[in-house]
Amino acid sequence: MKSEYTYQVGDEIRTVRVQRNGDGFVVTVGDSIYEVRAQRPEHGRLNLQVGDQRLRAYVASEGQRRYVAMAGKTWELERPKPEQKRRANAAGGPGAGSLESSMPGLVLDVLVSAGDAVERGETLVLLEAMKMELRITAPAGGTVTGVRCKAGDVVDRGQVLVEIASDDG
Amino acid sequence: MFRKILIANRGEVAVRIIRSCQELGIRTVAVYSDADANALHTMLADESVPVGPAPPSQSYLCGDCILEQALRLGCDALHPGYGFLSENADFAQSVIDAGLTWIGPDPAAMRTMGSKTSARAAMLAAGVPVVPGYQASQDDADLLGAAAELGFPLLVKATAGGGGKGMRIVHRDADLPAALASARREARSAFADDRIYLEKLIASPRHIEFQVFGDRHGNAVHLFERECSIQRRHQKIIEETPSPLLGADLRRRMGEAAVAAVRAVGYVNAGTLEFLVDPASGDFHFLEMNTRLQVEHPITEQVTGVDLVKLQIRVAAGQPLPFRQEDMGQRRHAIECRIYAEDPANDFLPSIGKVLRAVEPVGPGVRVDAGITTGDEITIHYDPMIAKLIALGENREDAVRKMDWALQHYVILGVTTNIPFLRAVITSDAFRQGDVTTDFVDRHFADWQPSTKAPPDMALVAAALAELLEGEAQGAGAGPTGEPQGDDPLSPWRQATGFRLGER
Repeated sequence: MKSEYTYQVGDEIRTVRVQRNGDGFVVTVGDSIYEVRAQRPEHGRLNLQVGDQRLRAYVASEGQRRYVAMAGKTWELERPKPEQKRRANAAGGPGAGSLESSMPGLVLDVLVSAGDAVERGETLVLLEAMKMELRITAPAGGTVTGVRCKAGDVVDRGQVLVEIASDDG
Repeated sequence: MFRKILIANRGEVAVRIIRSCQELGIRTVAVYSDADANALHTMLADESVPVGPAPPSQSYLCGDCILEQALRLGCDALHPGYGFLSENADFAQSVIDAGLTWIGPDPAAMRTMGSKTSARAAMLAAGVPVVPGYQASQDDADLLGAAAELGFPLLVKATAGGGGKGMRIVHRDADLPAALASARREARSAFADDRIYLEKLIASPRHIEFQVFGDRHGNAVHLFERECSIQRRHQKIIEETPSPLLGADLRRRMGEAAVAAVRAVGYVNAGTLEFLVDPASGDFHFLEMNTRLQVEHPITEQVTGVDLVKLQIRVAAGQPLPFRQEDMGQRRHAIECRIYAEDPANDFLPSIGKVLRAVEPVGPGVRVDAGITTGDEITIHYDPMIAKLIALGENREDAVRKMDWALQHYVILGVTTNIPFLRAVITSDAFRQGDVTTDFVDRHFADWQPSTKAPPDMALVAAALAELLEGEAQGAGAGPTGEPQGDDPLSPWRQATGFRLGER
């Protein structure tokens, strides 16, 4: 049995393939192949062994987000949503997708509307949270395909605010 | 001794106080707002009662609501922690009037030290050096004359001030009239009090404070200094003791000044005197007094071996200090790092959400004072400081190494924290050399950005194996997408509300 998982890291999509091999796994990341033994002694903790190297990882997930703490550092990964992947494929570029609110807050202003061309870094939405102003900016150039909030809305973390189709493809 | 103490606070300090009460066999009552119904402090206290909606003004700052609960539940004392109502002399008085013991100083001393100008006057009278300044008149002509005598640069400060509000730095006399006017406007709108005073500006100062303690039997001691110079936007982030700056002579002189201040105002219980020290001349000046327990009190506890919260409770109960000044010393070196739920990559904006997993570092010389644990929610309503890490080492170098180890082993998943920034500061050459002034972060870390390095393959391997193994462990097995089923990290135990074991 072979399982495949994709993660968005910055602008990049990384694919990890996992295959059982006896009581261990063969894991492929890009061009690299690792033989890994893995135990799950408790919920959210993995003991990994690669050759003689041992690694303890703490993992957690929330929605599409994945967190891994390992060797003194914490990594945040994103599992692209199935529809997002499809749309990304349709648009032919990796940057297509939706912009989510990084924290709950009040929408102060929406600066774009559907059909607008936007540049990377352009401010799309102004949010207020914890008495501070937060700018939601375009991660890449593209075209706004949908606006899902309006001034005065109270939005949750992870709520989609604006949808963009990327130019690069 | 008290039978039941109400803790009028939340988060890590509430947890800290509950801990000392439990050791003393005193029952505890926690209060909580609607946003904190399942917060850690509510789970650890013997009883927990709601006091209002999420906004602090309607809950943790509502003295009447809190006092009503303390009376209803038969508490005989109240501990205010720090922040919220802790420096509110009127509230302290109403607690005392209701027949309860206020675990803190007398309201009169709180009032004297709470106003910047009356505190300055009291310290001057006690012979404690204060930052040179002028507060005798509000008249512009008098202020201009005094400014010429003090010299520039100087600070215009609000008498009722705090948090930098109503404060202006003035570099030349021509700018003073405009600065006076705007400082008054800001002070009036922030504090409904437009009185101002002048203070000489000390360039690149060190912020060093002394822990003091007085009892009701005429005893007063200091418990040495805390170096609090590492700040970001006027917020302390790293504290240590002993201070790398103080030699034995300066420490002795500052300690004596601190004790003189305690005696001068008849101060009882725990307090902190903040001083500015001019690194060039070695002169020190009284800045202000905090009439409460301090966030950074654990480093003092680590090097003196005194549990300051237990001592607060004992002194409030009328007991004398169990030691004399000459019995006290500093042993080894302690450092505290404040863990904030904020995003260093996003201009240090607060970061909120559910703590999916928290694993605290444990080991020799490492202490964690946390207000959150796995499953807790960090909301927009309160201070983003969620925990403190304290390292005690044989010496400064050893404490720095321990702190770096502890920061690496503090796992917090689900919310972004400032841990990478703290590690960068702790391991920097400038910090290791003890070059700590209040502008340290601006001088060395103004343009700091967290690493944007892609995760190593092993992190992706762990993530993928987690999808598979976590999914299998859920029984239902992983779906075709490898999506784990029912990945709620919370056991039903933590979600249960109004459920308590061991009720006596």
